[in-house]
Amino acid sequence: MKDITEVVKSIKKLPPMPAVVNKILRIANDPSTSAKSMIKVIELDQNITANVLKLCNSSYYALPKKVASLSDAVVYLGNQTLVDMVLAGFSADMMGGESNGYLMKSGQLWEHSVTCATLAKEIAKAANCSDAQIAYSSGLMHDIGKVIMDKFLAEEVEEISKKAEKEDRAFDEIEKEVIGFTHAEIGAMLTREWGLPEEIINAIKYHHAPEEAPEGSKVVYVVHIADALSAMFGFSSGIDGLAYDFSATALDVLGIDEKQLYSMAPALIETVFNATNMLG
Amino acid sequence: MNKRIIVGIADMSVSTSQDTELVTYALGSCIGITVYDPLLRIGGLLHIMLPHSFKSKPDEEVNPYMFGDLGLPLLFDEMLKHGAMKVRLVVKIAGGADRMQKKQVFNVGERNITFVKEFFHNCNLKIVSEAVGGTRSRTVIMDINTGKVIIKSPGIRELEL
Ligand SMILES: [Fe+2]
Ligand SMILES: [Fe+2]
Repeated sequence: MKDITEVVKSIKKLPPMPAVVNKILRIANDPSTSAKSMIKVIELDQNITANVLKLCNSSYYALPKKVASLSDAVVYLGNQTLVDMVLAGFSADMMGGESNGYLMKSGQLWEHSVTCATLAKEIAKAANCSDAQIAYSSGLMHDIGKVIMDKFLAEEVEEISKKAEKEDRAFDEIEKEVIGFTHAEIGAMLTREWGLPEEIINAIKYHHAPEEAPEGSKVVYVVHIADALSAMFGFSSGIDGLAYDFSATALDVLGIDEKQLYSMAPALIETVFNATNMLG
Repeated sequence: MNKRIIVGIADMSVSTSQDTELVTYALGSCIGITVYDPLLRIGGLLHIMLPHSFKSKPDEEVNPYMFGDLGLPLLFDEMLKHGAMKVRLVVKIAGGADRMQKKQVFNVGERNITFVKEFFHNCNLKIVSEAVGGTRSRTVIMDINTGKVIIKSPGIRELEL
């Protein structure tokens, strides 16, 4: 078992969430926000601006012309996509590293997260969830706790993985048993510290157990499914692989059937795969 | 050092170059199928996502390598085109992992495995070795010179199929 106060210390040591990201999340949902005012906010952060432009010019968006400025980007992609990209750019910095705990190559956690976010957005739309943007952000951040868990897990990871396999139990269950907490719980602590909206924090905290979430939000179910699909179709997040439970009620809660998901997920994932050099 | 040809998700490659290896990364529920003609040393690798093809819209163009029912015949065609003979083909499969199987939903891996096995059974070809099921992701590497197939998963030793 590890000491949770050590986790709190590591969270405090992380750089704070860039003010720009927080601000963007707040104004994104306000329909009166103009493209111009959004660009003004983003431009404050050079790093993020650079990442957004890189993403715009990646094969993923296949734009007809090179995008040289944020105002070009808005013209081609619209406000919502710009918000997505600010988050994706930020999280690339956070999650781009390699992981010794979960045995991920560099970039792997970010790829898993972007895939999950992309799927979450589409699933939210298919399920008539009011907020596809929240679904995207939650999908992007759902495994952020792994960044912190990484060093707490490094020594025990083989033990955890073997135990999960032998006893046919979910990886997060064993995480809790051996370490004392799960990557989902740590992710929620971290994003609370960052001041993210409650709905995103809950989606992160319960992404492996959506039934336990406070009632009312469908986003946690959306992320649960998007996470499963990402891992099923080749974007897993390391040694844990697919070793998680799948909620029997998730599809019913959202009112979508499995077939519907299989008719959209593979093509989306293929697109993401073809753009694995998104930030390269 | 061998040259690497990367077979993407829903993708296929057949090669006759002896200095080449075919690689497909991180199969989850997807299945990687390798076929090899040891006499001519021709190898092929297909990475499918789902067993059966469908169109979401009638005029939609589907990628045949995404699906077992369309992709597998194409893998054969391509092998035969290069001179391989069906009776000589050595077939190996890997992948088909699933979320924990307590609830029998989202079992694409299992359905993929069943489909691929049935397919080869129906065309009278034996699958000589396999690494399927479970919850781990798998990377498949096939050496065209020897036909050797290696499986890598995070956290465990690599194994030869
Ligand atoms: Fe997770
Ligand atoms: Fe995940």
